[in-house]
Amino acid sequence: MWVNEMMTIWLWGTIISLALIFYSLWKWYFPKK
Amino acid sequence: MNQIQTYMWIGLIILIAITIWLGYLGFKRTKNVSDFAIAGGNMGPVILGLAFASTFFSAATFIGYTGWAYQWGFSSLWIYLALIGASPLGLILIAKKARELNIKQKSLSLSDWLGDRYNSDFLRVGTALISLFNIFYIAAQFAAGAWIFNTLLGLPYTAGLTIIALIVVLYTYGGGSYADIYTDAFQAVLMAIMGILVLVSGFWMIKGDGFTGILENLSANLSEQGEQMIAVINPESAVFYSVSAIIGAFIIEFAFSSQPQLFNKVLALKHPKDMAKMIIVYVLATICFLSVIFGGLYAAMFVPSVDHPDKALLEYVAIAFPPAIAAFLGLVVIAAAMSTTDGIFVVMSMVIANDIYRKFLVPRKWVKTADDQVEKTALKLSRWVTIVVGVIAYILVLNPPESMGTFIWIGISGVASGTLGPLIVGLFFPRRASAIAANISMISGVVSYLIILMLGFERSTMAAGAWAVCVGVVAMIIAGFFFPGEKKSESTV
Repeated sequence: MWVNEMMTIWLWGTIISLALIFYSLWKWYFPKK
Repeated sequence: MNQIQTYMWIGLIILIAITIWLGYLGFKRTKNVSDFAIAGGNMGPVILGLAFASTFFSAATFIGYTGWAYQWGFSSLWIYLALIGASPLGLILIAKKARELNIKQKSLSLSDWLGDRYNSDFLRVGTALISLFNIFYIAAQFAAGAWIFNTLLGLPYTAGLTIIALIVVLYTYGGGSYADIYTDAFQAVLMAIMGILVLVSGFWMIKGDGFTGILENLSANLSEQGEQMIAVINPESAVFYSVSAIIGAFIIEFAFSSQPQLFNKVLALKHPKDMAKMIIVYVLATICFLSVIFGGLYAAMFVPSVDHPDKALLEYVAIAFPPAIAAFLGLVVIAAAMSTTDGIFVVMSMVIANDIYRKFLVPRKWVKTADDQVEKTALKLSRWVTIVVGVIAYILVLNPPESMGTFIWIGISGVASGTLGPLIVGLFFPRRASAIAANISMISGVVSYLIILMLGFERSTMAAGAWAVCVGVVAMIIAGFFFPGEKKSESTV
């Protein structure tokens, strides 16, 4: 656990959110070669 | 006059001068309704990404969200996760396809887009009228600006209200969407700087071994005020008191990114292939803005007995920074309020001048206008609407109601519950996208929201909107099975 339970959720939530954002942009938005 | 006030007056004059200058640049480029509505559809991704972000985040971010963190502690960080997780994903879902369809459709607003997509005037005018709910959103931002003028500069409330209303009406009247987007991009930079400054102030205020050490000291201090301050769910919180309230916040923030004042930024992008760039800029700006929420937690440690949570960040910044930065925060809140209201002003203008007048009343010959005059009349009408909306919003908050926050959500939830079903199905399930289904969805979404609101059985204003959005989307899917879309609509998609 990092700092407290909520901060741990915040850290992982932020990492997962950004990963999902960049994955979905890469998957849907960048033209296929 | 103290130092903060001196700096703020100087800063305010500079801020107003730059804003009016950017508005003038917009005025010079505004020749027709499409310019007024979506900046002619020829904006670049960086400036639009910044404008999208500053339209999305309002004075409520800097005052309201920090107040939540101050009052209810770490559980308020759920709003950070909803806004960095659900909202960008909601935008990614709709933006690319909505912009690509608009190459042929050439719609000028969310309700215009829906009306064109479903070839239904009932849907166009219905969603346009629902969009008018957002006048409460404008009014609330005006009130926040006036409150800052009053709190920091000691100006009478009505004087502050007059200043902010006049400036926004002046530059949106002249420059429409161009002025909206230029000023928004500038305002976004100010908001981002403030967010980062507040976050890093922890390093000299709290002390500790790295960022982890700082947060551990903060967490230890807040837990002394009560274990609920560091809990994941705080039963005392008005927003994150249960699992369902958290889920509701994620749903409504997912829907939020297709609000009309944001949707028209998507339509304004010149090259649809730049959409990913625009979204990345918006996400990076969001991370900067949202950092300010940590300021609410810092405030709970350093200024634990502020007389109102809305003042928590102002008081914290006044002790953590030199007076010039404390004054800068006041300007940032004004900028955040202006950058959100100007976008809604443009939407209001389009609702009347384009969605109702140009696309509904004129084609049906309910209003007689010579063909070559329609475009000019619509632009003139757009400008007059900004003045009328400004005056109505001003009157609404001359005596500001206690529950201003609820007011904002009435507009947001009303629009989202009536439009998300038709929008998503119209984009992704053309076989199910019929005008009848879209109209059933619009009506059931809005009516269910009004019922939830009137009966008051949902404690969280965000969750109330979320359940209505769910009703609207489910109604759209079910109605789509009974009234499927026409075969020929597939070829146009």
